Amino acid sequence: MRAKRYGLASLMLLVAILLVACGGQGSSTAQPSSTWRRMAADVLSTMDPSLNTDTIGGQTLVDTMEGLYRYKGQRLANGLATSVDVNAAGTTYTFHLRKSTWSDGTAVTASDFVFGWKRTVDPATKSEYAYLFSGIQNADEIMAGQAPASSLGVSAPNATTLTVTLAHAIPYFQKMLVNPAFFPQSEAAVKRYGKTYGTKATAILTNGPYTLKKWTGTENTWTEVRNPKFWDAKNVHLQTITTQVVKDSSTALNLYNTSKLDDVSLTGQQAASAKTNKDFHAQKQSSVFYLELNQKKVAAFANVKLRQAISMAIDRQSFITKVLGDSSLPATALTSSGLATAPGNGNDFVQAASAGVTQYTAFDLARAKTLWAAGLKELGQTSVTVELLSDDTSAAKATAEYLQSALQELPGMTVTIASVPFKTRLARSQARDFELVMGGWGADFPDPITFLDLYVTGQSYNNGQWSNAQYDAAIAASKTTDATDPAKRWADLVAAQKILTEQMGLVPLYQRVQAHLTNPKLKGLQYSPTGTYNYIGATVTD
Amino acid sequence: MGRYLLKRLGYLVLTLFIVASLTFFLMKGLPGTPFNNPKLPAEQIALLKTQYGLDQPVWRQYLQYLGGLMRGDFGTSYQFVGQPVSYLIASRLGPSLQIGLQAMIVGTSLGILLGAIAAIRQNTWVDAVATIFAIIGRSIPNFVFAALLQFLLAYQMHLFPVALWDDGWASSILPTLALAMAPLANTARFMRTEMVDVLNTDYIELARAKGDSQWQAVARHALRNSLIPIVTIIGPMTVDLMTGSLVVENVFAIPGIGEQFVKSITTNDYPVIMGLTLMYSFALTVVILIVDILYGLIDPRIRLTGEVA
Repeated sequence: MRAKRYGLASLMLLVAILLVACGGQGSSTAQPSSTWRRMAADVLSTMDPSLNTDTIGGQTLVDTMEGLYRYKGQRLANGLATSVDVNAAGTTYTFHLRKSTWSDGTAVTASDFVFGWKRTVDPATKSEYAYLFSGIQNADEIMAGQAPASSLGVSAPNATTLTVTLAHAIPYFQKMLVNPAFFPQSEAAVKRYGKTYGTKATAILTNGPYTLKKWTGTENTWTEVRNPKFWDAKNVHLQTITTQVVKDSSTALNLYNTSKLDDVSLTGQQAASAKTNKDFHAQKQSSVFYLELNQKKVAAFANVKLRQAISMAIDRQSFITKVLGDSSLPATALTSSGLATAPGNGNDFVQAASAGVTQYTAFDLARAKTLWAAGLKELGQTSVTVELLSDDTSAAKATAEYLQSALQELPGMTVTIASVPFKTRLARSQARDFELVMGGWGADFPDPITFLDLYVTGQSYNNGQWSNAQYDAAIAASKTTDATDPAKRWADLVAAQKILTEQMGLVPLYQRVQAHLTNPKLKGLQYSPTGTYNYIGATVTD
Repeated sequence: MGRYLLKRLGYLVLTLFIVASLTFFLMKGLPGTPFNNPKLPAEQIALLKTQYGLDQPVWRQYLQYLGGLMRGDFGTSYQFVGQPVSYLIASRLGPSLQIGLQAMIVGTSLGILLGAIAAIRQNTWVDAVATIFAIIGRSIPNFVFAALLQFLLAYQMHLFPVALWDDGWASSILPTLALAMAPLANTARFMRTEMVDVLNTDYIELARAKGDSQWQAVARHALRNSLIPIVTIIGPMTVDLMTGSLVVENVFAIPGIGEQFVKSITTNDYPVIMGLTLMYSFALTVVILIVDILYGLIDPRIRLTGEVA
């Protein structure tokens, strides 16, 4: 019996070695192919730019559509816009568009933008991203049902001119326009397909580098084919992109290792063991995760020393190594690093905003205990008991348990854990029915304000209900008096971030880095600060 | 027989109505909304609820839903934006149905065989091996089998596709095997117990006395009489295979419906929850009806009025 088992094991080992050897030879003699096969963690839920909310739809729309601008790596490049005139007050944008066509050959005009934008803002469309339009003249009134969609501050004086009127200056307005919600939409197509618009490949009209094929709306795989009518088609080299939904992480890895997929994302555990693989690469994302401390539920959280003590009691690097297992980065601010650079010198925002306040996010248990004791003394308390609200996934539970043990190092601190389903956690966070909760935010557009707006007094995402007059004033100045002066605005935002870190309005934990295995045959693929890939210019080299 | 069927169909409609009503009210008691985008502010969620009519009293939503059902309208999904539920189910049901039925056929036929052999060779090493096999099949969850089969037969030995639904029938082999383990073990266990009982009855002794060999007696008399409890468990098992395939579907990246059953609940996709519940209830009631008819065919003593003579 035993001998047989060893026999079988060694036979399998031999087979495995032979297969690995064959695999190596196979890939070097394989035919040049310009098909890229990537995985997605879930299905494509819609191709309607007004209704899409997730990153899978976002990526597919960026592949198949072209808006005014497109991120090429960190650089905001012209899409259909060739130039723009902005008035001195920063409230009127006049975009000049290039001549281009939809995939059916009809012309893309400025009216297609006007139609698409009004459609998204119209409450009848039920867009979840309509709030991005807030700031364009009348958008708030339209969303609230107090004005007709036709009154939106956008117009098309002629086929190649688009004029946008803002209610107030928005210094990052052009960066927001890479979001699919701002893409043009053909009125003829929307009318023709009616209720089915965006639900299948045959009920959309696109104008981007690729055209969607073989998607009937519910399946686990779809294909994008190079669009020869795209205005910049000469720079689109990759012929076909296929996407396959794979939800099981070990299946994804097996498919990558058997050359069925060219790119897969890895879990923390897989990433830890794949780090030495030559195909391994880590993609820094613009998402930051943090602890929110509800000051209205736990009076002790209103004490700044206690909040600082909590932050200093957490060893973020050890947490990432032991619990996440991937290459995520310890967060030193609410804003993600690599998101925005200073006007003029190109320094990273987080680097600038961390200067002088790094000690508040650095692990220092002795100092944390001193601050904790001082804070408790100020309050006349000897103990604090809080409930940490967390998701019920195994990863979230492991995170909660790590934080529980770290925080209980503080004398008199007791942390209990409540694990609930995702949607319950979400509803309770929004209803502010929690004491301590893990939250996260991903950038909507690459500007620090996408993060810093969250913790303004009275803002709907300020779940911890932290309030600081100086912080509010700095954010307000960045939007009003300093809106059109990049240097002053930058200084306002840096100051605000420093106040938030020093006061620990929330406790930043880590910035997510997604590990991938990627076939090295594809060169020149660019990743944007908004989390999508740009395939224009990418080439397959075999 | 005709009257019997008509009566059963009446019960079927009544059952579905009760299931639909209960599910509707229980579902509305779920926490959360179908709008699970963490970036949606509370005001926006309130606005969307109004747009979708979710701010209406539950009884009014219930009446509207029933009205839709009468017209054959199951509503549209929230997760698959704008897709009619009937289309969503129809387009993803095929793969689930295929691997479910294949697993059923493979599982029960091998199970019957294994159980019968174990009973005939009762208390020998054959019986012991079959019992151990059945215990393993019952106690190890199908996703473990799925991962093992994928790793050994597909990844290591390259005998089958690792995953995906793009290689014709070959794509369905490993999921079928993974899914077949539980029905195989269940059937084998029931079959062995029943067969042991039947083999100890007087009529089998009589058959042997008349000169039948052990195998002849089994084939002519024992097998058919042992099948009744198997038929009873086959019904729920079939439906179980359709609903229970979600993990196997995930492991093999199969575009099936199993996973939607769970995901629609965790995302409050109300129309999909209702559509799938109704579909599974319908399947279960139809399977029970078929099983009842099969009883009469296997054992003529059972009349279709439901009374045993």
